[in-house]
Amino acid sequence: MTPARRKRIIRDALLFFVLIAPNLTAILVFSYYPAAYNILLSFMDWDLVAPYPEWVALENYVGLFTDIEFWQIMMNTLIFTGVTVVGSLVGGITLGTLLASRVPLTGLVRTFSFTPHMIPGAAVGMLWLFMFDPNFGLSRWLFNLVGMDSPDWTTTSDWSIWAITIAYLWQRLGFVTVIYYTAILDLPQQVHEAASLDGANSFQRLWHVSLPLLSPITFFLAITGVLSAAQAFDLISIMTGGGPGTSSSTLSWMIYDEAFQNFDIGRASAAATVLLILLLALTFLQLKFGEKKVNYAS
Amino acid sequence: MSQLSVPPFSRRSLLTGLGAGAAGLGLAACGAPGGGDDDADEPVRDGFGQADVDVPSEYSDRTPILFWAPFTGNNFEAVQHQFKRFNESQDEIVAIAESQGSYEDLHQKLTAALQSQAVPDIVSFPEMQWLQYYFSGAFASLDDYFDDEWNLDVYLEPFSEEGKAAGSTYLVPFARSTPIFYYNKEQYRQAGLPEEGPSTWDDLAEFGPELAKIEVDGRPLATVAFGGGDHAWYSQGEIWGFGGAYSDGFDVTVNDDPVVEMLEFQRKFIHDDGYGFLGQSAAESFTTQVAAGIRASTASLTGLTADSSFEVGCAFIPGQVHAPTEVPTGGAGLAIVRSDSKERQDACAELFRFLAQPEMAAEWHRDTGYIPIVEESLETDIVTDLVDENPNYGVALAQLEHAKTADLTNWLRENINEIKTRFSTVYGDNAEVKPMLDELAETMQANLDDSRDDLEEVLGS
Repeated sequence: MTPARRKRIIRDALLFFVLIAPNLTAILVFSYYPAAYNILLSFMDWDLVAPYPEWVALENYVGLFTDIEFWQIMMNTLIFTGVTVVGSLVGGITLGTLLASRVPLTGLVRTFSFTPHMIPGAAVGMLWLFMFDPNFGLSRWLFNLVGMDSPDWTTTSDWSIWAITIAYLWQRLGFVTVIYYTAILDLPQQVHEAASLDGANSFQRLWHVSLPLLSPITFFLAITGVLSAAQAFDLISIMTGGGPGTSSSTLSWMIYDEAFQNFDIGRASAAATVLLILLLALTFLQLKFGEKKVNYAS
Repeated sequence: MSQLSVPPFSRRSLLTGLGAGAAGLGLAACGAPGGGDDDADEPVRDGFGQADVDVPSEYSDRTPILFWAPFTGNNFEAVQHQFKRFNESQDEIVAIAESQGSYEDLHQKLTAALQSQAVPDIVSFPEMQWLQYYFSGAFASLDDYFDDEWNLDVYLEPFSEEGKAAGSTYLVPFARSTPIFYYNKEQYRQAGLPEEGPSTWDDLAEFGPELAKIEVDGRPLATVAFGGGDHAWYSQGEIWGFGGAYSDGFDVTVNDDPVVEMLEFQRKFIHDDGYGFLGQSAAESFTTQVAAGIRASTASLTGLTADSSFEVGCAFIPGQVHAPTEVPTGGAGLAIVRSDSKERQDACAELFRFLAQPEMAAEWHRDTGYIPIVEESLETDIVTDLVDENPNYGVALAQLEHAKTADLTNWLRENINEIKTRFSTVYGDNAEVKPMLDELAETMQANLDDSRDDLEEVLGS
C-alpha cells in the first residue's frame, strides 16, 4: 500500500469516527450504559435512597420467578402484546385496503383513523375512561341497547386487561392503517392486473399478491408493534394502575410499580432485564423466521 | 375471565439450577451518590446543593428556601398563601413553594434529587413514610431549633410524636388529617334517613335499601363508593372498629377473625347487597351523586364542599364493635433536607416556627380542611367561626380525640401498596376474603421482619 493510500484510509477512518461520534456517544451514554447499569442493579438490593446498594446475587431473580403474580403479569403482557399487535395488523390492513380502494370520503376517514395516534397516551386513557364509565359512559349506552348492564371495565379483573387492550389497539390502529394504506398505493399495479387477467378474485389478489408484497411492511410493523406494546405504560397508569390486584399489570407497569411505588430497585431492575431479554429474543426470532417469509422484491 | 396462573418454579430448584451460591461476580456494593463518609448527625451535608429555584427579583437579596410541596389545586394555593404571609413578615428569607403533584410524585422526585445531589430544602411526607429518608440520613434533626416558644408541645398530641425517630425529631406536623365519612344530606333526607349520618357499618347496611330506592340516571343510588386509592388508611379505622388490627406490635394480625369479618362485611355490602361499588374516583362518584357516601380525608372537606352542588354531611368513620372507632392519623409533616447550607436550614426552621403560630394554623385549616394542628389554634376566632358556619369542620375536630398512629405494618410503604393491591380484589372482583388475607399476612409479616431492626431503632426499643 502506498503511503498516500494509507494516509487516505486513515483520514477516511478518522472522518468516519468523527461523524458518528455524536450519535455513538449518545447511544452509549443514554442507551447502553443505563441498560448495563440496570443489569448490575438487578443483582442488588436498593431503595434508591440508601447510601449503598447491597449485593444479593440472584435473589431478585429467584424472587421474581417464584412469585405467582409475576407469571400472571407475564401472561397479561403476552395477552396485551399479542392481541394489540395481531389486532392492529389485521385491522390496519383491512382499513388500509378499504381506503386504497377509494371509497367515498377517503381523505376524511384517513385523517380520523390517524388522529388517535397523534393524541398523547394520557389523553387517550382519559377518553376511554369516560367511554368505559359504567354509569355515564358510552359503554353503558351500548350495552343498554341490548338490554345489558355495562361491565365495570376498569375496576374488575375480568375486564381490566381488555379495557387497556382495546384503548391501546384503538390508538395504534390508525398508525398501522396509514402505513399499510401508503404501502398498498405503492404496490405495482401490473401485478394486480395480471392476477385479474388470470381470473383471481379480490380475496385471492389480496392473499396471493398484496400480502406477500406487503410482507416487509408487515415485518416492520410487527417488530415495532411488539416493542411498543411491551413497553406501554401511560394508558395503564391512567386507566387502571395495573389493578385491580395485578389483573391489568404488564411487565412495563410492574417495573415502574416496583421501582417507584415500592422503591425495590433490585426487583424492578430484574424485571427490566427479563423484559430486555424477552424483547431481544422476540426480535431475533422475528428476524430469523420472519425474514424468510418476507419478500423484498417489491 | 379467570386469571391464568402458571405454577412458579420452586425457590430451591431455581437456586440450584442457577448456581446462585457461585454467582458472586466479584461485584462489591457500588457506591451510590449520597454515599461516602457522610455523618448523618451533622446537619450540613457537603455536595448536596439546592435544586433550581426561581427567586422573584424583589427578594433577590434574601436567603431562598425551596419547598417541594405534595399539593395541587386548592391546597397548593393555600400553601402559597401561607408562604406569602411568611415572606411579608420579615426581610431576610424568601420561602418558595413548588407543586410536585402527589406524595407518590414527591417520593420519586426526592429520590432522584438525592441521586443528583440537587435537593429542595423542605419536603413533606405522610404519616411514617418519611422513615426511609431518615434511614438514609437525608433529613436534619430539628431538636436544636426548639425552644420554649416553639417545640412539639405546641402541636396536637396524636400528631406531634410521629415526626420522631430514635428520640430525635425530624418532622413537625403540618398538613395533618384523619379519614372521615362524607354523605349527601339531601339524599339522606329524601330517603328518610337520620341527618346525622351513620355511626356503624350495620347502619350503612340498613340505609342501603332506602337509598337504593332513589334512582340516579336510571340506576339505584349506591350507599358508599369505594375509591381506588389508599385502602390501607381508610380501612385502618374500620378494622379497629370491628375489634381487629393490621398488627399487634411486630406480629401481623391482618388475617385474624375481626379483620376477616370486616372485609367480608364490605364484600357482601358491595357484591351481594349491591350497596357499594369500587369506582375510579370515590370523590367524583360522590360529587356527581352516584353514591351517597364516601370515606375521604378531612383535608378534602373544603374542596368537596366547594365541588358539591348539594348539602354535604360529615360523620365519624363508621365503626362496628367500637363506635365511634379510633381512626388513623394521616397527612404530612415538614422536614428539612440535609444540604450544604446551614444558613438555609436555619431559615427553614424559621418558616416552621412561623407556620406554628395559632393564626397561621387556623388559616391553613380554613383554607384546606387539614386539621388546625397547633393546639392554641383551636381557640382562634377563625376556627370557632368556621365551626359555627359549617358544623362539618366541628365533626372533623371532634373525631380527633379518637385519632392515633396506624399499626406498625403500615409504617412500611411496601405493606401499604400490598394492602391497596389486594383489598381492591375484594372490592372490585368479589375475591374470597380469608385466603386473600392469609396471603397478605404472609407478605406483610415478611416485610415487617425484614425491617424489624430498623423499626426498633426508630421506636428506641
